[in-house]
Amino acid sequence: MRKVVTIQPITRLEGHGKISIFLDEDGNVKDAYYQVVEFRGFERFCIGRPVEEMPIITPRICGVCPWAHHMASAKAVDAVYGAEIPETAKKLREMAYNIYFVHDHSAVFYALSAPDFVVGPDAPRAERNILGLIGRVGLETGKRVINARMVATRLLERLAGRAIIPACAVPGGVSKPLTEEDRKEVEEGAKKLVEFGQFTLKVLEDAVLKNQKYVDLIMGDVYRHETYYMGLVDGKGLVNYYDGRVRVVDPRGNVYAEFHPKEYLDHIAEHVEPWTYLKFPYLKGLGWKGIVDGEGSGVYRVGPLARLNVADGFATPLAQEAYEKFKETLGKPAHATLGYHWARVIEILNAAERALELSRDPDVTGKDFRVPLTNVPSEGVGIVEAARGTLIHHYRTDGDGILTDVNLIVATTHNNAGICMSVKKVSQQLIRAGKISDGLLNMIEMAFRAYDPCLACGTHALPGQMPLDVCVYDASGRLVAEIRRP
Amino acid sequence: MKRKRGVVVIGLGNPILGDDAVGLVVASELKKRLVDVDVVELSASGLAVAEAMLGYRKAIIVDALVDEGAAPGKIMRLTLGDLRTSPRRFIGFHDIDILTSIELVKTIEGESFPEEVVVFGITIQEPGCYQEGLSEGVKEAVPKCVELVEEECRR
Repeated sequence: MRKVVTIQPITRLEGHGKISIFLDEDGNVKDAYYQVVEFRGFERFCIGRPVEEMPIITPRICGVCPWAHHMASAKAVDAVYGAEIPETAKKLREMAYNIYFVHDHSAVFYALSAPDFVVGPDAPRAERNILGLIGRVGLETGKRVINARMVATRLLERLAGRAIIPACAVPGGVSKPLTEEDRKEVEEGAKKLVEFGQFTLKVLEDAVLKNQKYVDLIMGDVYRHETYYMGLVDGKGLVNYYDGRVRVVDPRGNVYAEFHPKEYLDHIAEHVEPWTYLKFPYLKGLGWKGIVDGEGSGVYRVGPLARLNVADGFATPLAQEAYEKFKETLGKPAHATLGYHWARVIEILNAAERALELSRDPDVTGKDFRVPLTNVPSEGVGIVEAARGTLIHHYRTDGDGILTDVNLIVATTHNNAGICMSVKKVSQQLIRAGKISDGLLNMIEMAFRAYDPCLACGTHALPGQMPLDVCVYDASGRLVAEIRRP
Repeated sequence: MKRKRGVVVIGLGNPILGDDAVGLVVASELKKRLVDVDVVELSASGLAVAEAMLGYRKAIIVDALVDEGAAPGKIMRLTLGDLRTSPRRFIGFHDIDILTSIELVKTIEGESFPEEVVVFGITIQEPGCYQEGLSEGVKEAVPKCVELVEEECRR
């Protein structure tokens, strides 16, 4: 019998939020892939430029997490020059970064995650958005969200010149010291953000955790994957977004590896699939076994859920209290993908508490905020936890500091295999013997929304809803169904 | 109620994504020419754009627009109503979309939201690569768009 290799659907895979589902001979799901557009050529764009420009250029990769790129890049440039930045600079960077975390996480929770739960996963699409959410929980909640974002925006402008594309971290430290007047404003603002974090946790508890149906959905098998997890931890093994060592735990929660950022290539390798430009990172020691979970697979996940799984806890009291409850409910490690939302909310509180703590630290108004770069530049790695997970910047330069090599691994790339697995598992439940159940699109959306995949672009959005296109192919590669959400 | 300021012009785009930067280029030209109008260059989406309009009587957005079949460099004046019903797609994703953001911010901060929002879209080919500079056709549209926005400010 002639074996037909069908390439045609493969060439169609690139597209905005495109999901391709392949069925076997019996009409059951064999494979499912989630794909996003990657704008290409960023590395080439950077080569030949002075490395110190990177903290200003890299935030342009993405309008969603510019702060994460700004910080990872500044840390990588510090490392390229072998510079040890002053304590004041380190704390000022971390303080601003924690404020950004509140800003970003709260938008994700209220605008993208909460509507699924508060309005309900079965509610019509027209209502399953932030307006529907406000309709349910009241205008007052909406006001609190907008106000908290305004507070964070103002503080970031004070600290970084601009709230969206920051200009505060410079190679060797920060661009300006913090005045006492500004410090007081940060302290006052951070107090409000802590209150907002507590409020948000209560919204989650009331709307989700007190509803058994949602708890069952979170705990259920549809969204569960037993993978490895990766994230930064501080010297005490606690969650830290700005700095620390990279820790990896296995599916049973044991520490599998812990390493300095500069050693990342000893632990992470990248697998390439012919149907996508997005790579699949995996743990080198375990090897690439395909898009599968389990102890033998090198697939790992990053992001809020992963951070709570790798760390021994939080350094701030209110977040720690919330973490205990999280652990009690979901176990440790928590494999429930929808647990990402809960973890994200605990992190809002933690980031606000940490910003407040730092605003009260006498070091932040220190005058020693930048060191001169005196060493010959060569190579450096900077790693931070972006809101969506571990972010790696790795630069090589010539002796004049001109870039010769750039490697970035962003959170969504680390989570690529996880997202594909979630989409596959949901599809397997909802497509049986060629019959597609209603609600497939909703359930798939809920799966990838947990990861909050960031789509490598710095563009804005008018009207900007990510189109979603689900294509189902039969065993011969023929398109048998297409479900579109424009 | 606080007295509202006059007009804000918000240029949107990514400066290193080829023609997507056109909104920023127009805004930067307008900054040199307009005296009584606040001009903002923003590389952001959704909520941040809606929030930037607060406190003004009128907001003018300038942005790149992907309109399948249209030649690059065509300028379109649109209202929010047009965007709602238009199949045209302004590029970008993630965050909540601009219309939902506007509706949200309007619902919550009603009084300080502009009475009028006008959008100038300049058609581009969807960018796929990071690069600096505008293509010829899009570059040629910049002076005309600057004039149109200036006129719009006086309306």
